[in-house]
Amino acid sequence: MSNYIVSVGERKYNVSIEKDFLLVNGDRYILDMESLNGNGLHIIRHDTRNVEAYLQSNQNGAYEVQIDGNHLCAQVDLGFHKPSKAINQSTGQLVSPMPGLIVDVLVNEGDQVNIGDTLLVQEAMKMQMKIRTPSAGTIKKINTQAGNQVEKGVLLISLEPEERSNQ
Amino acid sequence: MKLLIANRGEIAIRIMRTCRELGIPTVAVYSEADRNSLHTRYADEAISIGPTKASESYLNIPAVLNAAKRIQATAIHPGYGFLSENPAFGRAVEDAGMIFIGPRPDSMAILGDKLSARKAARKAGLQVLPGADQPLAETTNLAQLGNNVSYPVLVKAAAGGGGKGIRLARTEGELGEVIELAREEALAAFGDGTIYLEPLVQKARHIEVQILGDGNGQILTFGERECSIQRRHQKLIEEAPASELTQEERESITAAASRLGSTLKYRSLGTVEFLMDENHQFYFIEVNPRIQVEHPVTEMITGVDLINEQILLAVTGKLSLTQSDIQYQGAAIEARILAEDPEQDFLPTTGEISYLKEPGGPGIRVDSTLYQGMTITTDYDSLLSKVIAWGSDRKSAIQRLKRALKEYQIGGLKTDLTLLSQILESHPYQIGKINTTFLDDFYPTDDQPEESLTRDAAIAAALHIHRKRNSRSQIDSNEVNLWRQRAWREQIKVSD
Repeated sequence: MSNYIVSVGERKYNVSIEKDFLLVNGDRYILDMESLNGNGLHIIRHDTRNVEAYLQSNQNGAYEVQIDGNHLCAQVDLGFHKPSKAINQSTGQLVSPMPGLIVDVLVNEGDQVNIGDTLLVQEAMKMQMKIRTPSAGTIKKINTQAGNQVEKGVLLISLEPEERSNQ
Repeated sequence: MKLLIANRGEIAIRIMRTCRELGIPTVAVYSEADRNSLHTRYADEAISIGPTKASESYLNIPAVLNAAKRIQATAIHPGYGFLSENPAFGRAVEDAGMIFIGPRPDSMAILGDKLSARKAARKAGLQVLPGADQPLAETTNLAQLGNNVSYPVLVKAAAGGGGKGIRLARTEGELGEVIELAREEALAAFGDGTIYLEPLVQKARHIEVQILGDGNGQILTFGERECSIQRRHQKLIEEAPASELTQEERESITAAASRLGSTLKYRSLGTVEFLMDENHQFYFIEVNPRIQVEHPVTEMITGVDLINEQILLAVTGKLSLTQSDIQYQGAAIEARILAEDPEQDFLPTTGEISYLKEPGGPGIRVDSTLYQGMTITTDYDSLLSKVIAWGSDRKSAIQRLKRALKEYQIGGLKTDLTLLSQILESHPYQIGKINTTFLDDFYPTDDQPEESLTRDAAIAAALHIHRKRNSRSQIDSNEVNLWRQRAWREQIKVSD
């Protein structure tokens, strides 16, 4: 028997996979899921109900599931937690919010910046976006330069956040 | 005749489809990134015009002309975007002895500059937005200017179009920065940094009229479209007819558009765009001298193939229809499927289309550029596909479009499909209470999907991960074997 806790939106499901049935929040289901194309498309058969589901795994137990025109996110709790690394609570790391071209870098390493200062200008699909710093501090490292094409989520600038005790 | 389509994506395919019906051989041009794209494959012949970067391929006039000469094309259709509104391109095509399927280059030049377009409109007796309609000089004293402006104000690129090059300044404090950004953006996108200010009309609706002119002053009108549902000043959902116009208003706006077209001796397809304020006053904004993204809604309610009429006119110099041939039936709505993430301020999304199922059935038209395995990048526009629904009235068109959007399945890439459904399901949209800031105040009702669906999703995810883990760890327990027999048919199929 295996137990999975799955969150879909605000709902939580405790799914136990037993020998020849499932328990979902304690209710017994006999159903069958079959892959249709080896590439995420499945049919779930449950009595007379046939549901087409397209599953795509993101990372670490997260699935995007398309069912009946709904796009749902199903997060499977695997019972262990990956150490959360990059996410400093005060966000000392500035990552690209979208894929696109770095048009301009407006700061240098060592610069002091205040909340809301524009650090970079990025362009995608003819739209220019100013990327501002969410916290004050000192620019520690700049990992990009004007003219670079970057993907979404790439680390652009590391910031040494200002110590609160200084204020 | 041999027609080269100087464009890509869904509009290139749209144009080629009509050519096939007319028996006209087609030529696609493609950049490096589009070697395998649908439009490259659909055409009778295809010719490479350079690297992925649009400025070196689809915007490269010599490259397009060389391709046309090499392949002995006799006519060029520019589609929308890219070179479609560039008078120098139209002129070069005609100078090379080919037919340019679009307006005369001189009218493109007048209409391409939004400021001279307004002058022309005012001369034709159309109402133009009051206030600043002069170009903003580089040397304008901001402090002085700021006092004379009522906020919020739009900062627009004179060479802009298609919703690009428009920025909003809410306060005097924002104006300087917005002007600077708009100028940079205009220069980058259009090679012309001229900008102007325009008062923001609150709760405005975007209404436009489709025209076709013969170049000698005769104008056909094909009714109006409403495109008030926009994000970032770019259209998202369009419909025909406009939902809240009286017959009188409809006739008056159509007559105004026709008058302007006639004054310009406009040739080919064009769209005259207006803003309508809360008192149903119309103000001219601009003319789009080309086929538009949303033209299918007009085609659906008139039964006319606009591209067909445009090509026939270009070839024969005569309109093939009279105004009384154009009759209206029912309502049509178009939804744009975009590679954008509405939850993240419509930032572009990228990825590979891992799964695709497009909608169909009664009253549905899909103009799409998607195929399974296609890689979506940020090199070009985010428009992936358009779904257009026709119904006997607006309500049934909405029902159909809702149904079709639910059928649409795109895997591997986040799109705006969910948002489109939410808009169609919202009460304000259904009663036609819409304006161009609709999305700013739109908070989708936090309707959770039906419990049976979220439960299915949970079960599917749990089963999927369970199977993946067990097949990896090779646990040969009785439990797993039973599951294999009962439900793991995929494993058996894969190993066959």
